[in-house]
Amino acid sequence: MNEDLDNHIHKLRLQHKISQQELADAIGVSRKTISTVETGRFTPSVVIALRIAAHFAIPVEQVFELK
Amino acid sequence: MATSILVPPETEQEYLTITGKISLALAFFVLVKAALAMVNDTDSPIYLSLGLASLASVIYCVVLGIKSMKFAKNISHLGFWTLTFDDEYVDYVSSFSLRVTCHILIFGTIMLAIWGDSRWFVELIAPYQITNALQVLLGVAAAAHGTSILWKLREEDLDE
Repeated sequence: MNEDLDNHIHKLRLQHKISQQELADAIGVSRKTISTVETGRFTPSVVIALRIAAHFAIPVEQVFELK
Repeated sequence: MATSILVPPETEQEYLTITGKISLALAFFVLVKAALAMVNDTDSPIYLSLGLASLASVIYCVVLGIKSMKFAKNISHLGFWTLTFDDEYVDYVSSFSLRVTCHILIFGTIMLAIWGDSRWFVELIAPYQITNALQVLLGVAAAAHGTSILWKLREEDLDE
């Protein structure tokens, strides 16, 4: 668990009405990657962070932020 | 830089899960083998039960091994032989489990290398032999490998 990093993936998914599996398929990772990133149990690479941000068409700072 | 996903992440996850199950079956096999050394009466029901359990674990291991062979075509050679994966979380789980296993093996072999021939150690494990101690070490390491993989890749409720 990364205590320093917060993310808004769950909120963004709800806003865009997409499931973890759909987001995972869209950015080419496993659903497990999305679920563990979303719950803060796994810290993704910059590449995945940027892909998630690009998928929601927002800056990466609006997806991830330091606590 | 454009990226292309050649191997579906779920395929890598499935392969790593099978690897974890093989590790657990192997752990069970070597631990039962070590336990067999403790039973002196080869005609006892306990010895027979352990022998059957050992046979069952070997069969399960072979079945999973054959099942894993189908992934040889679907996964990169690097992924298949060295458990290196494209999906980040699957690769993290693989690295984590190998790290845990490596630490257990290094710690255990250092202990055996230093005290393996010491009188107190030989008396401690008597009537068992150093081979049995190595079987226990291998069993614990394989069990840690399999358990850490299956725990981190466990199915959870979909949070949609």
